[in-house]
Amino acid sequence: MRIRLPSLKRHPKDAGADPSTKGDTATLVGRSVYLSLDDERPKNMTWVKSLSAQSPLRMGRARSQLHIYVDDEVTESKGRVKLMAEGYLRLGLWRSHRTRKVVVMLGGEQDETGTNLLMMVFQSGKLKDVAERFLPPSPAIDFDDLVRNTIQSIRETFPECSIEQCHPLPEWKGVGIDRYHGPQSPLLRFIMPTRLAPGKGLQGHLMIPLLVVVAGAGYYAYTVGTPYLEYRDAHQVAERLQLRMTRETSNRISLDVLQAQSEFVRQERDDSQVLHVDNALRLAGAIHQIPAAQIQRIEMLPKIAQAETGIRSRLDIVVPSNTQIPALEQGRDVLGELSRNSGMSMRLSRQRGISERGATRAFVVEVVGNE
Amino acid sequence: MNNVKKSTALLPMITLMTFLASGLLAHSATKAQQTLQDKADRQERINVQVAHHLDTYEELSAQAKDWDHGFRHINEAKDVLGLYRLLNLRRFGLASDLGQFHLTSDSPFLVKKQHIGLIEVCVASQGDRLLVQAEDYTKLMQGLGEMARAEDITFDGLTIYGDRELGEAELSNVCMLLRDRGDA
Repeated sequence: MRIRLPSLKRHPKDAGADPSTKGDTATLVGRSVYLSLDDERPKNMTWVKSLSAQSPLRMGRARSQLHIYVDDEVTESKGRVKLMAEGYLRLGLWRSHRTRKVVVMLGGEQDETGTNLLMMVFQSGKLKDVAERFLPPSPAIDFDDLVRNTIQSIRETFPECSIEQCHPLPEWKGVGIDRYHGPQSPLLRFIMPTRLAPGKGLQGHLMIPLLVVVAGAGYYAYTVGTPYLEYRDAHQVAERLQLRMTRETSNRISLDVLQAQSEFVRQERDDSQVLHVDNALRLAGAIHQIPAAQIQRIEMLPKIAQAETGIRSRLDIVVPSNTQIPALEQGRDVLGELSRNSGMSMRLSRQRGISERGATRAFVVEVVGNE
Repeated sequence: MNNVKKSTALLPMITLMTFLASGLLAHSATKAQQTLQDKADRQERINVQVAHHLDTYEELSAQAKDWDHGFRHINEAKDVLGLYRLLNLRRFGLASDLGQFHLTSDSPFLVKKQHIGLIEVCVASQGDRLLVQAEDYTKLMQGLGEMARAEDITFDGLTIYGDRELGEAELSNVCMLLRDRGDA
């Protein structure tokens, strides 16, 4: 069922106001507005919005919609308008819910050319029907009768209904109206403006969610992408290092071993064996400076033995006997000369330090340090 | 047009859902960012350590080539004759009695309790000592001096005998350091 209302309360162009200007929003009611409970689009009209035709308090799955169309000429202005039908719908749903009766809301507009009467029938919190009726202007002689007839026919159709009249129609008294909702009625007064956009399709309506999605995705990509790229780079470096490591460690020598080898190579070499040979040469030279002295043995003691005994080396020397002096005295002389020649501190061994061997005397000398 | 109307009726829901989805997306992005950043930082720290490790390894590996040239491989000493040849006293102008020449011990050479790929092989010819000879004492002392300076031979005691026909000396704890890794 469709109705066509006869006039525009304040057409944005006619009013001379910029409909997009906030605070001067035009209110549309009348012939520029087209209401429908089905999906058929009227000619030269642009769909503006669809509203639920039932109370949010009503349970149930079947949810019909009231589609609101506006004259193409109006939508060209691209302004913001308040649709009076929205107020009628909300008020009717509320009253239907409140009274628990069939509520017939009468809206529309009245001027010098005639009266457009919009009738919206609500039942059980749902808009059941919309209809329109054209009446003459109110000064007409038969106006009151026509209104009464209309009210009467409504009551015949819905015997227990509440017939309620709405602004901007003036209150018709004495014709059987149960209630009048004036301009101060909150549900008629506070109507959210609707932006008119000629030929606006789904793309236009979806622009905001689309932008939100794009912005969200962009933020996600940037926020996650930056550290991901860092991680990817680090991972690639790690893979290259892994390859390098596989190549480098193919000889299976651990870094610890290599470091220990390097340390071993760098460390100061123990020169004790070199010193042994050098000191042996030095002692041999010192002995050779003593006339007729013979080397029996030069023993260079290992480090451990040196630490235990305090003796660095031990010499077995044989010299011809000097019978004019005791063996001990000759031994001291030999010791002194050896010590001078070698530059080393020496002593005669306490054990068999001196022994007589026929015409020779043997001395065991212990080197205890450098002088 | 009908589809447009139906879709547009769902518009507030769609818008709300997109806001919610975007909020969730932003929230999860922040968490994912933190997780990824932590992983990236940890990986970079590991990379620095591994790179340092590898640089050190490469540097030391280059030295390891010199190491291979500095020590003979133990596989060259398959028997006593091989050991004798490895000791190679002839290079010092010295000789020892091959008939008495024998192995006294072999054990890994440790540096700070770390086996560094060397085996310490100790040899002797008289008891636990190695008797070496030279043509005369001059050559003996010269040979002993060179032997003492050889990188791969150690000894800790030395006795020179002056009453022998040839120059003769006894060395205690004569050991060689031989590689047990790498190519022979």
